[in-house]
Amino acid sequence: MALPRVLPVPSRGAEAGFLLPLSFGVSLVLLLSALSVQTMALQGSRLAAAELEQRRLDDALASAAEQVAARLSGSHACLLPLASELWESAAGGCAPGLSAAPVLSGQVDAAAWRLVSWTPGVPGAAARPGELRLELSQGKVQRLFALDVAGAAPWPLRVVGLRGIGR
Amino acid sequence: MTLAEVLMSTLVFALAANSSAQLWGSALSWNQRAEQRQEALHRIDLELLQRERALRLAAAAQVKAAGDAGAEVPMSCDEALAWMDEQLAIARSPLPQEVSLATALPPAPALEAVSEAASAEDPPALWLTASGEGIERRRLFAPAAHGLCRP
Repeated sequence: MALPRVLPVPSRGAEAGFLLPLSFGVSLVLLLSALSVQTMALQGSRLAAAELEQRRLDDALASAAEQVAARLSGSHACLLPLASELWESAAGGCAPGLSAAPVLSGQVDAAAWRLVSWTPGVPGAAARPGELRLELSQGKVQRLFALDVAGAAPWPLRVVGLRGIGR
Repeated sequence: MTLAEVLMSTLVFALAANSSAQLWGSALSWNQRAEQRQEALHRIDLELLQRERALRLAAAAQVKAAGDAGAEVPMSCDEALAWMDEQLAIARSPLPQEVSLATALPPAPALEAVSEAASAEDPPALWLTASGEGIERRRLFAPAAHGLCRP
């Protein structure tokens, strides 16, 4: 006697369960892709803000260099032939009582700057510009500037040009 | 597949699609704004640096001419300020619509008391300011720093 063949009956539970997980999966993919695009946009805005901040720091340092160079071309021109380490002690050619403080630190456009170093330049035929290194006290950003000097003894040196030369 | 399941799946998908579309929309508009600001930043940068360079070159030529003529400095610092304004007017190429450029004697308007005190004994100088799209860049240009005068 042949046994009755049992045909597989599709399970109601398996058929019923596929649509909901599928919609959850697709929704998750949609949301995750949107979130990643949003994160990228945020990152882009943050980079643009950082670039603007960097340019403003450059502006502040360039302005500070103008200020220092202008001061060094005035009453503080006597400091031009000396390295900055000697300014406090051996400002021999300067007027009595002249303080080096105005060229050692200051404030320009609400940014406080500090002179890190000054290496004197050489005027004349073998001319070499002096090197002025400045930093902003906020963020400790430093830049190097070249200061062209002119003049020959017995006249004091004078500033004739200023340009940024990097970090 | 029951009707309840279909309804539930549709609801979940519709909510997710709606939120996702909103997020994409806001991300795209942020991106567009960031790109516009970036372009403005580059234009402003170019304008400011071009004018600063023009001033620097004109100052170097003036100092050289004065040196050739045997003068130590070409002019007084007050004359140098007027001369710089003239040079800026000569060098001024048409600005893009969104960018404006201004020069001002220090102290700059936003600095007030602190800068006023700090700059009281400083040689005369000009602030070169370029702005647009809510971005402002400013740089000081001191004629004495370029050999145009001696304070």
